[in-house]
Amino acid sequence: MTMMDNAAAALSLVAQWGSLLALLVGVAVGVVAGAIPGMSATMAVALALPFTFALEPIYGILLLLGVYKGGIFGGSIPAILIKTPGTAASSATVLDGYPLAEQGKSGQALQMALYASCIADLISNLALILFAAWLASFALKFGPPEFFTLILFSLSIIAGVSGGSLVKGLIAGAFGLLLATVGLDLVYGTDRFIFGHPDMMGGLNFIAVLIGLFALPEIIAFAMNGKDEREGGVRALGDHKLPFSEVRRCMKTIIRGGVIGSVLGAIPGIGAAPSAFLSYSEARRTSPNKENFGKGELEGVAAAEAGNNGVCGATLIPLLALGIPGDVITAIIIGAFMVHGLQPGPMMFATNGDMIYALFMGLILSSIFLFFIGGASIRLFRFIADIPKSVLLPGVLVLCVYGVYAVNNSVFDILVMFAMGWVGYLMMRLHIPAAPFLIAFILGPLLEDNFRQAMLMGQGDFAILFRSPITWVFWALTVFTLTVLIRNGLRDRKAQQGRLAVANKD
Amino acid sequence: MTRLNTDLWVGVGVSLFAVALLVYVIPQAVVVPRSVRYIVLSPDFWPEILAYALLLLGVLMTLKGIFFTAPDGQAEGPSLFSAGSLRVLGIGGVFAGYYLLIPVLGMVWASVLAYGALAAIFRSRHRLAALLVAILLPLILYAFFTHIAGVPIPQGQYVRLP
Amino acid sequence: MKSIKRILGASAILATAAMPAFAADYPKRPVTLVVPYGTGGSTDIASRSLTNVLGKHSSHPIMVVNRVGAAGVTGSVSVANARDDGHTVLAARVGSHTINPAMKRTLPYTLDDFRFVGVFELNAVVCATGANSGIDTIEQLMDKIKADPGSVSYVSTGVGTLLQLASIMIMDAYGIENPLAVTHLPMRGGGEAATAVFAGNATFVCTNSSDLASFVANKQLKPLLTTTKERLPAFDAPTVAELGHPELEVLVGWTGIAGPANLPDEAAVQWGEWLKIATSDQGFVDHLTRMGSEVVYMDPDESKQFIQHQYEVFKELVTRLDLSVE
Repeated sequence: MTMMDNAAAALSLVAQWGSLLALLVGVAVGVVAGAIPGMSATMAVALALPFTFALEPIYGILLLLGVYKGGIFGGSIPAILIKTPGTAASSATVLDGYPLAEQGKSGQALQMALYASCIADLISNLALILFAAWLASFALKFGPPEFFTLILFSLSIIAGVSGGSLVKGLIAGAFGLLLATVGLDLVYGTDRFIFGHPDMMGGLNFIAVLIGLFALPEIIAFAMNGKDEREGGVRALGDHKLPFSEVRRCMKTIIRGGVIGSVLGAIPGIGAAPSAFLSYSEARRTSPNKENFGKGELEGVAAAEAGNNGVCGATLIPLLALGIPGDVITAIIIGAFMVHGLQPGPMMFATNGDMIYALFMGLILSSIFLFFIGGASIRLFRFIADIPKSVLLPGVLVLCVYGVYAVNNSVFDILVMFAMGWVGYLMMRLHIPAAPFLIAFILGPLLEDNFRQAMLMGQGDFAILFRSPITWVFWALTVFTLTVLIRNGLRDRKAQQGRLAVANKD
Repeated sequence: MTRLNTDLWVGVGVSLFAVALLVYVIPQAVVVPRSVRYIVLSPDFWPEILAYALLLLGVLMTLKGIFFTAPDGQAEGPSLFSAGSLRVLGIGGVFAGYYLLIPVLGMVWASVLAYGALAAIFRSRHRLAALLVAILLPLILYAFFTHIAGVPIPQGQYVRLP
Repeated sequence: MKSIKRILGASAILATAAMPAFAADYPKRPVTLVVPYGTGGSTDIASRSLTNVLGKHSSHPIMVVNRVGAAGVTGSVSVANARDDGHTVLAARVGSHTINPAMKRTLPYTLDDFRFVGVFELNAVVCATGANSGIDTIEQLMDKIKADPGSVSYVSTGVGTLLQLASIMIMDAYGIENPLAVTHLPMRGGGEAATAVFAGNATFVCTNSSDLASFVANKQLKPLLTTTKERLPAFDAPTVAELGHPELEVLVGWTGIAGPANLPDEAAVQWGEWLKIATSDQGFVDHLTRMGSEVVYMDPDESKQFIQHQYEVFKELVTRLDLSVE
């Protein structure tokens, strides 16, 4: 079949009520599931999987893709409204999303997240359709040494989100990396910081750590600050509509986030978190409002969500071009293909070309569906911002407990969350920034694993960390970023001290 | 001691923690196999590097605290025995009680109590709303997770839900 | 959102309505089937297909619950320590119940902490190498290792997994004196491991046939041997018996159902019934076969014997080569 034939056949597959309905239901279920802490997009896709066995292949796969896309966007809703990230990737959204909600701009933040998600998603889908083969062969060049340098570069963000004190930021980062070493050693299988507790063998559940670190300190601090002073709806969403000029202002950031996501998403095994962090730090580095990042900057939300959603379409690149699952979700989707006797991979373009083109069309449609369903969900969920805090926060606690339990069905994880809540509160009181801690904690295992894998491959020789042009590029980027950040950091601190000195005179 | 110098305290605390890691915790809690092919692959390689990094940062922070003692300029919280601190202690009690009650009462009823206790600590003005949410929210979440999402929420030994 | 809830609610009601009521003592309430591995993996898919079938035959739903961590240890421990009323059972797997007990000295459970009610799925091991590696037979691979052990590497999903032990055992069977001199590259997941071989970052992989099926079908990996008795249609590779190493047939992945040691008899009997029903259900068999597994039914005694035998073979290898982990 020629491409046109395929496209025509595909159109007849997609342009059926069943396909549209599957996609619609998928996106809607995904958004709702993603909005519930503890119900990640992965879980939602796994739950939807058995329903697809009975459906026509195209319906089933479109349903799963819809759930996936909806779920990734849905994660931004609790991240912004109640500071409870459901996934590692949406924790980047918290950094600016929650401060915006505190300023009563949660509506704007959510809308910006939606715009960024949909646009980045579209970019990612286009990358899949146009550059799948090229990106897939690029992605295969990523072995452990390349991963290591990429993650190292991503970690240089820490210096950028450290706030006032670089040393404190680095301390937080080191603690995060240290906490990530808990569990069985990857290479030797021996115990590390387990203290005889079998529940610690698998390492600390990172959702429990994230939620503990972000959401619980808010509850403790609210108790500290006394009476419910914010009652009366200062936090209300009001009619704050996102002016389109804001979207236009952030368009460059969104597109950059989408491109970062598309490239990183194509590489198996990276996931959305590094992409969200990289997109965020790039936006911060180049933004004229650099100072405002972390304090409630719409561009920060846009960057994080664009990086996050930009990964979606691109994770299908290794799946369709090579038959390789890039992450857990695509592993489940591969299962769905195989149950229907379809074999994803390069040959599928020849054997089931109509199916591939139908998927492409479905993906583009899903971005559009996401825009409308996401918009509707914002209107539904935003009432949360109007709830007085003395009623809302206990509810957040209950929600966190259920959600953290649901991730791995473990009561121990609830204990981890509570413990991290106190750590987070202590850090808040001591003015140690939480963002470096969490970035290091999320990227830590990737950094260490890939370092050790590279060392195994190179038989203990560090030269392997410089084996390819890709590693050289990331080494150069890391050095460059660090130099710039440290120079700016020193300059900013001088300026800050100058301001403080003036303030102290008053 | 009237005005805590956070930098100094953080610095000293981090340094002490790093020393404890290097001297006691890592040798005790990180099991190293008898033969390690390359030193960089040893299970205690990363933790030790991080502990040294923490030590260095802690010392830096301490020095900064001693020599650049400019007060942070941030608002200081209430003193130790203020009402706020008592409420924070109360929150600690709620967290601990919540966790301990889950195996006994089940997650749903423990959540109802925890919600109520927290709303009481916050002295919420919206008593009726709080009461309603306290009962309904855990039940709705239970129904959702157990019956739709297929996550069996732990039940207690007393009142079991369908 | 309301409409979604209604759809979900409706499907939940439909699912419940489809279950005929059985007047048995067991189960008294929903049963939890703990899968100690991640969503989408072979254990997970086998377990979910099983509960899909059993939903029609049980008076209460059977819920699959993933408790991931430490190569199956976290989930297994949770069942070993669960209330032994029969409502929490485990999808036991080769990694968690024969390899880990054989390898890890400080494992927080032993085989005696479980009561096995049956094995229902087998999954042979296939070794493969990159399509462009220039290695066409297992002998070539072994010669390469003999010539320069350091130049060869194999991937696994961590210490104490089938992938690691299978590779070592095969090298041992082929007379490689020190299989530990060959580089072991642990990855975080099965897909990642196979991809590393495809991308040329490692030389070979030995794992469940289902994990390699798509790579072999796409001609990205070249199969070198299978541990099945007969050749697998999807894998154009000799069996271990053809290669003169029938002792390697013990290398087979499996999934079984196990409860805590004091699992009540009525639960064990009921699960035995259920496994019989499922393993003769055509849809279930088709589904698992398509995923690359073989559906079997082993009663408790057979299962116990099968598992014990595999454990002893592995234990001997571990002791002889000093593979154990503190």
